[in-house]
Amino acid sequence: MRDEGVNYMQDEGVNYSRQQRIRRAWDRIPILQVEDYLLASIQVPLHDELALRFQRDLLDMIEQSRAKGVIIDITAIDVVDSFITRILVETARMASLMGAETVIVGLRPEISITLVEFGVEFENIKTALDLEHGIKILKEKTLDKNLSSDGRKHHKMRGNGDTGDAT
Amino acid sequence: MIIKIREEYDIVVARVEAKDMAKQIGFDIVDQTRIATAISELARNIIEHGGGEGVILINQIKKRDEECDEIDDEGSGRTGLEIIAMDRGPGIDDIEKAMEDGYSSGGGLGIGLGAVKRLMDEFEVWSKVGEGTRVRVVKWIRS
Repeated sequence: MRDEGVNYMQDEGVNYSRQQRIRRAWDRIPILQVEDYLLASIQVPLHDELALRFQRDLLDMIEQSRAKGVIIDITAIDVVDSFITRILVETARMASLMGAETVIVGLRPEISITLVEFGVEFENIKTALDLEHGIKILKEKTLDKNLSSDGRKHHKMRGNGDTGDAT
Repeated sequence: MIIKIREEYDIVVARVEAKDMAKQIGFDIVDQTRIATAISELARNIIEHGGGEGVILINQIKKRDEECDEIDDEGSGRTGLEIIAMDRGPGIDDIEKAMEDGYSSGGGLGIGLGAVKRLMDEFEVWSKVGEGTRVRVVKWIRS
């Protein structure tokens, strides 16, 4: 649990009013459940504290809901820097350990360009253009899992390498 | 514009301000994103490696075209955005190494100054152990 945010705000003589307001308004990223899937749409600038809280909330939700898949929508994110990438990659890996596949959806052209030039990678995470494709990918994956004898151990990517262009 | 960097949330402030300014000046969305990503990394470097405190300056700058030696009122030269990140942290011991991808002296965060360099058009780094680090980057609007 990280509650240092409260202490920052009490910093004497420093005017944090603007930041304070943003922080209070957006101290959590809502996570919705749809059938066996969790959907989180990140609509605000993801600062460190918020990112770590989101990671924890999502894992808690997976435990409670026994979700098979997670979709993280980053359409509204303006910048995906190395920290955010790391958080997303880590979160997906953690979710995978708990038996939930993650698909990140909503990578806009400028984000894709910057990510490649920048040299960071969404290692082993599925990405898709939009929510619809994301759900399609998850459905295929969870179907795969049900067919294989031991789904929970089956968290490596399969050969098809299909990203987004699901028919 | 001067942005003080002293806590993690200031990284968000820096990139939002830089992106706004880039947009106003006339950068396209891809360049806005490149600039915002670069400043995000520079701000994070200050927090993680630069002693946790520093400043970032964002300026609109102009460059004359080499061919024409006169500049009209509107400025026929190119417009750019300059970002200077400064800290009085421990400094960088081995700049070449800090430029390599994947190198990070602060424990796994940041993917290095080399990545910042790739996103921008100009890149300079000055650093002295025990005194601090200054990084200057520029992006020019493509004509």
